[in-house]
Amino acid sequence: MIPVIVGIAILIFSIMYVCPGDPAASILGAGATQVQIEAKRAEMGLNDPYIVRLLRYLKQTFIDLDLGTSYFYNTPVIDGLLERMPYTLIIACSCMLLQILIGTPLGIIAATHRNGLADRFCMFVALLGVSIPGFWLALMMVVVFAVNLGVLPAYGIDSWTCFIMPCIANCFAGIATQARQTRSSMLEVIRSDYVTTARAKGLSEWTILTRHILPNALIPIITIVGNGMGMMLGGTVVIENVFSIPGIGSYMTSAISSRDYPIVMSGVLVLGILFSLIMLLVDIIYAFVDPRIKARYEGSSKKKGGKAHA
Amino acid sequence: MKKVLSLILALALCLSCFAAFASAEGETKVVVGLAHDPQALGPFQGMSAGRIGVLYTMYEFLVSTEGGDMKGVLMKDYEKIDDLTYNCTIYDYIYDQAGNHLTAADVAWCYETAKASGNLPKLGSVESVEVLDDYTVQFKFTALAIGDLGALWMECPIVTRAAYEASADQMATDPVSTTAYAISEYVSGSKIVFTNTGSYWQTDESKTPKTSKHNADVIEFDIIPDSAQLTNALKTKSIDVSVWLAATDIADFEGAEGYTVSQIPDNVTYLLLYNCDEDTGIFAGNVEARQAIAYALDSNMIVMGALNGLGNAVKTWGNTNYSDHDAKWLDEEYYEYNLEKATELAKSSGIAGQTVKLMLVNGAVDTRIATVIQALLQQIGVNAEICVYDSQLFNEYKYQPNQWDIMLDQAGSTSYLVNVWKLNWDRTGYVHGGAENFVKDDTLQSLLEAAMDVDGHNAETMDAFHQYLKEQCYGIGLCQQLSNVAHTDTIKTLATDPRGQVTPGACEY
Repeated sequence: MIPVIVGIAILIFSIMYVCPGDPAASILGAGATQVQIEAKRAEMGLNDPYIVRLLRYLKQTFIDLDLGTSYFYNTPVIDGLLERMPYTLIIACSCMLLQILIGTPLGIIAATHRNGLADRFCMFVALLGVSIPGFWLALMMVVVFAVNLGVLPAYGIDSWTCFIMPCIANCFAGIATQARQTRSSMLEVIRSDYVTTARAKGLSEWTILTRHILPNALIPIITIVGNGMGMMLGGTVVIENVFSIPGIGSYMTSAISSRDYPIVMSGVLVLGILFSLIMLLVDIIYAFVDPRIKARYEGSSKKKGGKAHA
Repeated sequence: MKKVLSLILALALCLSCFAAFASAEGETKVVVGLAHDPQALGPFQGMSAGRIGVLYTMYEFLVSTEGGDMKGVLMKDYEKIDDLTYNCTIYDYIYDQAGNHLTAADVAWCYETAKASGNLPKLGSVESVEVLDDYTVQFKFTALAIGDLGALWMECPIVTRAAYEASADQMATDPVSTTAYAISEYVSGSKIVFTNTGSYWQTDESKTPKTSKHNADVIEFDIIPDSAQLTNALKTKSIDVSVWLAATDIADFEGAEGYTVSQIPDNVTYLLLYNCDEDTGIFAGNVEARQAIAYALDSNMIVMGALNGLGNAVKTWGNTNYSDHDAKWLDEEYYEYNLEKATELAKSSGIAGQTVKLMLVNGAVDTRIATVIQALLQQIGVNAEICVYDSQLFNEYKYQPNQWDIMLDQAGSTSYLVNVWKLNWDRTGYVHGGAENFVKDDTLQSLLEAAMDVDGHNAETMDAFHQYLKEQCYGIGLCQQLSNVAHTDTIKTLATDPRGQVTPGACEY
């Protein structure tokens, strides 16, 4: 994981280095002259060579353990991220929950009623989910529920009702993806010999579904959930902008547009670490869900233990 | 399922109604929609689109301007010692929200700190600020052009040193100032709520300028970056006003019950510059090519097509909002649309048949203006390639002569028209030694310096520069947008500051 994190740090620094745009000009505003902008660039060390700036950044991040201070907010980046993380977490966790609770049953129903009316209905809903852009759905929901019916707030974070529309608009595509992935995983397993054997043994459909099909179809579903969670932690950029939610996504995008390098670089680094941890968690869950993977780990550890004893 | 859904919606409705009642108990509350985050709230931060929206609610300055005239805020009086030295006396009864007494030492310290931060570029011409007594400071400047004195005195927010040093984060999240409003709630990137402290230091109404008025009890600034959502927020009355509404959405509120549309003057002008760099500029040394473009453009068509008619064609490098704008220019010929002449000039200058890069900053209005310009130039055989960049890239590329041939820019000033000219044509501000469009014209520079001079600033020097710029056609003024601001009827009279931003404390409710 350490090489990955260092790699992310070097990569994002290099991207920001070659990215055109000048934070000094942005700090000084439209009324600044070119002479004043150049002076500010020199003061900020932006005219130093690439390698000098890179080493300075790596030393600050990995030796001094300082993620830097935002050029524009003038507050430590870590504080900014921690302050905004709860809002992103609320949306991300709610969306994942809805995605699992709605998408998975839809996929199961579609797979168990393959080519039937239920399958067609579920896949139609899934098709809508992947086709409708999140921002469009969000704005349509605002027009209906906030402007016309007046039952939900159009934006903000003042109460839990403010999060209803963002979560629904944001998770619709996730539900669709989850349903489609669950259906295809289930269909692969349904055709397996051991399922046919289970049926031949006279087991009930419910037992076959819960004991034989679902556990074996879970791996791709867990992967989708893990990836989705990682991506949502990175910020649900569009939804946060539409509903004016001060989460990680809006923090990062406004930093990108204003060339607030410390936020962008440290933000990406922190999110990279979080994503790596989630992927690690997904790997651990694989071992719990799939006995074959668990057995492989156990087998390798026994071998190591055996060698050690020998 | 239907019952559950109905229950949830009914609950949400009840909660939102309860919230509305809870905030409406006898206090005057106004909610202002901002399209940009003010980011750091500290006094010595650089200016940004978000910051100007909250600036006068958050901080006070030595002076403010009203109708182009300088009016003291913290400053009681001033005295000119010589051309570059001024003594400024502040009121002796100024206290900040933490109860700290503001003295001349605080003023001097603020200017020194702000200058050292390098974030307020105008302060570069402040040589020193010396404390003469408890309430008087002496400013020494390196240079002063017309309008600079007021601009410099309304550039640096004044806070007490004690309050600043007591803050853990240089007031980035908890500013303590001398205004009537203290921050009661701040959620970074979401909202800032100011509450009237009820203990504003200036009790004499006649000495309280517009920017320091405090007619509302609570002022909430909601940050709503999405343009469509700003409109929705006003439609649902979640906000009372915003100057950031899309011009095309204003029509939704015209004549609508519970809303008023007020027109406020905009000091910004859309301008067109020709690249006159001696090495790469295709317009360098080719006045006919520049004039061909100018005659091909119909400013009135741009106003109708790009601004929905909400604007005026201009007849100089700026607009009529400034006191030093000469009314006689309005009756002069200023490159009126003349397709025949434009075509002739385009052929003789060799610009016909060429492709020019038209650079602009991304934005709905700018893009519409560029589209109209592109269509008009097509008529004289000039193919305009529209290059749209975000403001960061635009600000970088405008100093690079190989990036653009024609640039659509905006400029405005809080004081005089000559300061708009200074922004674009003063060669001393550019590393390349030319004006913004790289032209190195000594006559233009000397005429500008004459018009900028404190003693020499008059109708004659202004006219001399205007006529020379028009004759050389290094760039032309296109149009001025009129800002129509829709607001709820909670606001009876809308008030704005010198930058055209809503001043919620000065509005009447």
